[in-house]
Amino acid sequence: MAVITTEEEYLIIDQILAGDRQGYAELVNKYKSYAFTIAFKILDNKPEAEEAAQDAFIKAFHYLKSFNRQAKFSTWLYRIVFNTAISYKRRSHHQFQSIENSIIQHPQETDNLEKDDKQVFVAQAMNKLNDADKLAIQLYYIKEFSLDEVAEMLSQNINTVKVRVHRARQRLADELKKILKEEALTL
Amino acid sequence: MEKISIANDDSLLSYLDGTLEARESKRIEEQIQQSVELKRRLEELRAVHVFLQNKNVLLSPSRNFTQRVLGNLDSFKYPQTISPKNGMLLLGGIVVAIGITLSLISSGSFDSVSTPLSLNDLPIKKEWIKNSLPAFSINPKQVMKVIMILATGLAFVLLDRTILRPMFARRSKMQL
Repeated sequence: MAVITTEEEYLIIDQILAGDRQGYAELVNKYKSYAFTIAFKILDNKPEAEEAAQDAFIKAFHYLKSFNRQAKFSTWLYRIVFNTAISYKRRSHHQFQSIENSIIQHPQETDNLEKDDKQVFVAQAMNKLNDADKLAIQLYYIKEFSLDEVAEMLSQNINTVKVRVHRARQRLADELKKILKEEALTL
Repeated sequence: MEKISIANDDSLLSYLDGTLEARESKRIEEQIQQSVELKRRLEELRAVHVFLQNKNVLLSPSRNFTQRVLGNLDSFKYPQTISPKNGMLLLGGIVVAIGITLSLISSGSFDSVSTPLSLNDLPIKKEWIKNSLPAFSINPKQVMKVIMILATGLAFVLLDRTILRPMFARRSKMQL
């Protein structure tokens, strides 16, 4: 798929606002994977994440007039996706479970992980993090998301997010060290 | 054993993220070469870093995702809610009205007013009524009290919907 520049994106938005609905397909195609991934990180349920991501795109289409072009379209869209997924989560009362946890539960998906014990131990350690820290590092590690974008999505200050991401990784490393030490003692 | 400080941890994480400037990056590399503890810590942090990189890849939604979005564009309904600004104005108006009513009641403005209401005066054909209907006396003070209770209830609902709920929703999102 051809890369759409910001200027081209604004042009597409102008066309959509002028009534060209099909133009919206280009924006959906460009951002659907990001939207779906964000929703999945929050909901940990693929059908629900897909529904939430679709809802977010529909919402974004109807509120496109209010997009003031001061921030990037992607950042504006991701905030809508994030808020939609959060409201889905509240509605369904799903307990946040990391995908790392589900990887441990499904052996067929762990083949690569099992090759490296350390990775399995980090996956275990992930479950000890609180939801906020877990979500912050997961969003930070999604390809191309900067700290600014994560901060914007979570409605938090960039320094707060930076500290959160750093401290969460430190805690994971500490947990990993602890687990490795325990493993060594049991050998 | 050398203890790794938070500042060192932060430098190592920034080094792994590739956000350090060249000079700073070189300095931390030299420190790592000289310290076994730093080297060990870097490996622990690298294991976490690699794990998170591998696990947080972009996921693809279903093939007909875009078609379904475009097909459902008209199913959207704008939420029927009062904006916080309008809610505050309405709440302010209700509070003022309650205040005025309370002061009128306490000053006794409604004490001497009484409206008798006779059901016999209603436009009903006389042949339909066998006995004479009773007469009531409406006490405006009681009516105002009932209206005030309803207005107070409405004020609480508005306070909840337009101020408290959005505030707590924002707070819980911040914590998440």
